[in-house]
Amino acid sequence: MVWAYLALTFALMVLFLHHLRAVLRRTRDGAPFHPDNAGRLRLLGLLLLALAALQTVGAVLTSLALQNGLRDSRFRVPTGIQVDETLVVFGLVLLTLAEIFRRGAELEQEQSLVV
Amino acid sequence: MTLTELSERIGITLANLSVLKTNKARAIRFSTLEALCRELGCQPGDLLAYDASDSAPGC
Repeated sequence: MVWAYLALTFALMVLFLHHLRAVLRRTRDGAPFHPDNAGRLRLLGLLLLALAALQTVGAVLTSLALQNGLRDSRFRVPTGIQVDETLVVFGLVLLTLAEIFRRGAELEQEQSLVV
Repeated sequence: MTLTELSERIGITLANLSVLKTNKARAIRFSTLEALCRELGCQPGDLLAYDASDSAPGC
């Protein structure tokens, strides 16, 4: 289960970096408001939220496993759901940026039809 | 006069002239309209007409 968790986290991070690189490439090529970028930013935001959720689940499962292992000892493992607020906030910021870029793509498209 | 010559005289790209010609343009600058009228020897009314059936709702 630990390997599955690590593999999933790694996969999400690789996916995140792949799409971030694609966004930067389009921006470098002079098309920051390309419709693809809006979709990618939305995906990046969702990936961050998914990473935050995965970390929370991983932390809960780890606590439960430790609690189970330390059942007969006098040590207690803190339980409770912990969320990485930074990831959540950045995820929401990216989702907001995605909406802004989507509108930017629309405006750019409209502007290209002004002669 | 060819389209290429006209686009050069007006100062817009051939692609934009094509956009104008095929009714895909969303808006036209007054400077472009003025240049078109100057090169074609016509009035704006000769180039533009209002068609009620093409209007978006609320216009």
